[in-house]
Amino acid sequence: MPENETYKAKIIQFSDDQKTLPDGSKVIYAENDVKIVVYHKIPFEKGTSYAYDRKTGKIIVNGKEGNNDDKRKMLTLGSYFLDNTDEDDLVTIAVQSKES
Amino acid sequence: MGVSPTSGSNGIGPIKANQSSNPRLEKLLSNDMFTRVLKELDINPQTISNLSEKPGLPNQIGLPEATMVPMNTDLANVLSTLGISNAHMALVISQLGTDQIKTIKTRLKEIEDSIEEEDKEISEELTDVLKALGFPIAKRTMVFNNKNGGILIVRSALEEIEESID
Repeated sequence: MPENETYKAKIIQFSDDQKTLPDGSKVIYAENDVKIVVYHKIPFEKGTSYAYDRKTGKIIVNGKEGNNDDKRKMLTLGSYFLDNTDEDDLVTIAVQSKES
Repeated sequence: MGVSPTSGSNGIGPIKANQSSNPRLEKLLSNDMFTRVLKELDINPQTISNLSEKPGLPNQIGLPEATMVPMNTDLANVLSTLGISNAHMALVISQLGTDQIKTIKTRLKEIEDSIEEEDKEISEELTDVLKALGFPIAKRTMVFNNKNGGILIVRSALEEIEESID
């Protein structure tokens, strides 16, 4: 990576925007140096964003501090995503910023 | 290193990259569909200066419909959660998810480990319950939740040795 570019985040999701998990929901996984994010969207419902702080170990759910149960839900969603995904189905979007 | 826009339909392409650019980047930026996707992402094509690709992808990289995804509400929410606004994005690389499942599993283990760490702290309430059940609770007693939800109690061997001396 060139010196004047900074890695910002990596986002992993289905390459086919129409593809869903068997239950009809969608999961987007994302991470950077600070957070691990699992975004879950059920059709016709508001999406739920689980953000795990890798430094403090705390979890934020839709902007509010969560608990161990929320971490377990996040893990369950991540496992469900992996159990129903092949690498060929995924696309990685690397987000970088270029320092001026 | 940068790219220079040239006139085209819809005012967003094709884009012609500098001579020093990756030829594949030049090809990608000349694709009208790709530049349309960039516009949806609120990314200025002129800020794109490099393209990284993973093995197995080169023949497909010119097909944005196979490798790019449009910005939608879900993706915008994820970016927002990560503290990234579109204004910060200067370069987007799209590629297949080789080894990404392994990466995600590693990260999920990171979260799982944090749960176990938190559960190690024994509360006063739990201490009282365990005492009522007749469990000897030493100062350095550790309590874990196992994967099936059961509680495992690990007493400090040192504590037992101290007690045996008395």
